[in-house]
Amino acid sequence: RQQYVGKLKFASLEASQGSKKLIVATEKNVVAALNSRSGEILWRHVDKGTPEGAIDAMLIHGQDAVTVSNAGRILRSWETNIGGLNWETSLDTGSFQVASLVGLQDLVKYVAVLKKAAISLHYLSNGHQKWVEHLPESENTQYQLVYSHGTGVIHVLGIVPQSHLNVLTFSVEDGEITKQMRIEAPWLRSLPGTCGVVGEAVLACVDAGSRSLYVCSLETEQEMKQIPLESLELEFADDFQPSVLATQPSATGASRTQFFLQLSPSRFSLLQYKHGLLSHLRDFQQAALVSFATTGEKTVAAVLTCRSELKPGSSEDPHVGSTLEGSRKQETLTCSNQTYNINLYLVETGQRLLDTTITFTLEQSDAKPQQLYIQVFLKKDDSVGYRALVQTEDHMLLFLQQPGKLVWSREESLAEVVSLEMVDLPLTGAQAELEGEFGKKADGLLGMFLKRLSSQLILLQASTAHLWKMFYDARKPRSQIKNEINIDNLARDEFNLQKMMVMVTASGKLFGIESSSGTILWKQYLRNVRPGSSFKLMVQRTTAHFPHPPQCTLLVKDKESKMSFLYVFNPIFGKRSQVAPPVLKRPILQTLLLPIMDQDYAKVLLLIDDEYKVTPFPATKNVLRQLEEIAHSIYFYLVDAEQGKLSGFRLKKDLTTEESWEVVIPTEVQRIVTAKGKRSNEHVHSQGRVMGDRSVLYKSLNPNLLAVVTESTDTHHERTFIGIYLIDGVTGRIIHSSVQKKAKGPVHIVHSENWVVYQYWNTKARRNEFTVLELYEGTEQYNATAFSSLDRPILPQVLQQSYIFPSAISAMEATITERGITSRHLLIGLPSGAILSLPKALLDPRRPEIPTEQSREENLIPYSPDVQIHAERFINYNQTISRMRGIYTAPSGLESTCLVVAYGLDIYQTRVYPSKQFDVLKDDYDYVLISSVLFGLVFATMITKRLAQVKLLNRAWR
Amino acid sequence: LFIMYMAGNTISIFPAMMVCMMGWRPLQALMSLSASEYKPTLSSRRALQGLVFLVGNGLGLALALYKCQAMGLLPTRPSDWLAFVAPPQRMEFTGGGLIL
Repeated sequence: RQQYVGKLKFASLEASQGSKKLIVATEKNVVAALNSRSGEILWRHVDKGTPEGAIDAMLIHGQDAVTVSNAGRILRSWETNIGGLNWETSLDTGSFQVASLVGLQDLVKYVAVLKKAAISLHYLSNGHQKWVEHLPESENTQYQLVYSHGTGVIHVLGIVPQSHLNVLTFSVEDGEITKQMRIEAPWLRSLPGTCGVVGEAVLACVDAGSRSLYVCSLETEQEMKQIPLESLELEFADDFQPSVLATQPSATGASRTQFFLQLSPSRFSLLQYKHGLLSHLRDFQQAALVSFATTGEKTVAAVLTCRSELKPGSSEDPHVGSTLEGSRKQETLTCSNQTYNINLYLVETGQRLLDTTITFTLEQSDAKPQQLYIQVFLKKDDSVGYRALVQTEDHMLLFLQQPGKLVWSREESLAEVVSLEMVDLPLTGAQAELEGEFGKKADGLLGMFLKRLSSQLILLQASTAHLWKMFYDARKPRSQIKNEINIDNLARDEFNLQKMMVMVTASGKLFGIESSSGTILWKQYLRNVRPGSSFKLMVQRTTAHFPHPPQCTLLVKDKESKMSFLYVFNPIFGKRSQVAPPVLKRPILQTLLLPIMDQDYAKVLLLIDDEYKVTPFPATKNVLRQLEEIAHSIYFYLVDAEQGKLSGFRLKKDLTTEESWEVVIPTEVQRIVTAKGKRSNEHVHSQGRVMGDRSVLYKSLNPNLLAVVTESTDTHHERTFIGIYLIDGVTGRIIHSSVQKKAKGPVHIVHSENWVVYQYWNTKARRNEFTVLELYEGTEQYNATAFSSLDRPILPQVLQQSYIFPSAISAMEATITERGITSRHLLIGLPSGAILSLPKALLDPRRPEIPTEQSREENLIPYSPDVQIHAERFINYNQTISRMRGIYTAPSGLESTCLVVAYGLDIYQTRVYPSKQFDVLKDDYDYVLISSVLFGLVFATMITKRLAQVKLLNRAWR
Repeated sequence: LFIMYMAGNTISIFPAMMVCMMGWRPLQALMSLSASEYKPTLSSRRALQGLVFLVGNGLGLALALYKCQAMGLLPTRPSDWLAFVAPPQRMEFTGGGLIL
């Protein structure tokens, strides 16, 4: 199991040298503390995954972390050492704007929460409300900023866009409005970003239109003073909204008078506004990120710059500035050699602090840094030391120490795995040699013989080396032997229990993870993937075809532009494949992986685009010829959830398609939630079930069957329903349809062999229920040798039964094994984070209500409506998986064993044995006893034989 | 025969042994018959005796087989061959799903 927290939203580092904690709040609604030495999670609190749990703000004060979540509904305070909850209060409704700490005479005692129409003040110690005040004119004024600096008043800034600013001043003691001001600012659209409070309650706003800075004291002035920025020789980039970045070291003191002004995506300048004078301290060009940090009396500014080849370490390189003009459209600058510098500058003067450069190089991935957090501390000799936390675009967290050393890194994108495949590991060199020999074409008797001899020699060599290594390792103490897995010694084990997990994450980063240890062996970031894309991962060639490398194909489709592209890579080493994928001009609707192969043993992938034309990949002549031959038997089905339309298409010889069927499910009444076919690699060993009277009930194993789930649009608990349709993907024939009244989603469905299990919420009885459908052909098989959907005169019999399940579920999947002999289990992910392994035999629609002789003969369990959760059926014990989103199962080389990967916020991998380990000797198998008995018996027979011979001889002599 | 009837149709070690014996003895007898038949000179009486012996043993064998059938040891039903039924070959390939 590996635990993750997700992409950072807020982070806070403690400003002392000995501190070990790092408090983070993430986009996955997690509040967590990380150990800053090792990067491990100290504690973690996972809120709801829905927007209800979203964390809006996090404030740190001393040992307390205050978070505002659920759109400003809930205010919580956490103890940062152990992660306990100090207090929790619920706030009034109203859209949340901002929260800030309020101090009074050197003591931070309150936290202020600004909503759209009200401001409330809470005690920091116990969360009780001190006062709540309504804000005047809240209909058309957007209150967006709160500011206080320990003088006993709180300034609340509201804005009427393009008209004026409203400044309210509240007294901390009783919440009375002591002053109300109206400042004309017709150019201002919104406060956060463009405005910041500097110095002692001085508002500084920047306007791109007039290229000037406006300043105004919140306490005294009524007018905004305009300072044109041309006087400071600062230029704005076009079409860029400049922003002001100010800092306030503590809630009791005033803000720093220095602030950053972002002029263009990669240009910042440090300005100072003191005593009514604006001065320019320093200009940073080609800076990616800037950040402030304070320790004691010192405030420093950290600037992350790209290390340029011309003048390393310098941020004042005018030459690079000009080249950046071309790449201005990108959000931040691209860095050619992926090497970045972090420098510290003293805020008061803008001077660069000596020996404060961290240089770090990102790995080959083209991700850009996104966020920068600095932890500054004073060293013993009063110089400034610091550590930096950098988050890159691919959600990787890097924690850096001063001489540019990487302390740890975390791959937080793994908190959001969207697609997963397991690929067999390659054979070892010697095995591969042997395989290769059989793969090659024969060249004469003698040549083959010599080749065989040489390969056997290599095998002998390898085995002796292995033995020697074992012998060598055995002499070493056990603690020293570290079974390190890296990409070079990656090899399949005897039973193929270790595999490579290829994970696609939502950020567009691909990972190759070794399944038994969970080490990340390779990672690859696809930079042109925008968030919200849909992915489909397919294994085109496994490792079985030795001289050819395995090949995986990832189809990425952008949600907005609808354009898609293919990424072909080697799943073992993560390298991009040499094979050039076809350029996709039209948006791809769906894909189909055919079992036919080209001459390089790559399975053929068909891509159907929005004109219903088909693109094969790889598109060699051989493939096209094969396709032409079997084109008449290739069908597509497309499920359009928006229009409620299911349609089937038939492939024609010229690689176009024609529509063969269409089923319309009216969207006014119900909408399609999921459509699930069967897994293509599933084997079913038994074609039927033996009944009590020894006849056979044949299963209806339609490989083209499709289970479609619909939910009603009407969500009233009396009228809501879900519908299940079993549709043949070739002919469009509805084999079974049922409507479950008074039932509500979310529906989880598993479709395998001849059965469908789905789970829903029963609104009438207010409980979770399972329904299982099984399809049987009857006691006669219509056509035992070939299955064709076009030739099925009889509809299968559908049996169904429902059960009560005591818990909601978050994911469901069925186990799968190599040959399908092992009985199936359902793996059910519970919201508590446990995975329940439920035998399919418990969800059998043939369970009789009154047990008879025959049903007993069949080993059917008498029907009981409730399925119980036994804690001993949890396959992950106490290694819970937070917010599980999916379970992936893969067969292993052993028939009894199925590999399971559960993913969500955490990733967990294990093996399950649905029918126990019938093909493996037990752990307590007594090798010594058995072999000694065997040897003893052999010995005894030899002795008795000898004795018998002697006796015979003696008798003959007599 | 009575013992056979009493043994019932359940499968356990004793009835199974009995059935085995029941089947094996006529077989053994038949084998010995065929071995001993050609040695002495053939007479019509002897042939008749042999025939009766043959029929009797055959009956015994049939009885044993019937017993096996009653006990459910003979693989006569399709369910007994179910494990060897090959999965039908699929004629069409389909693929697709929700529009990406």
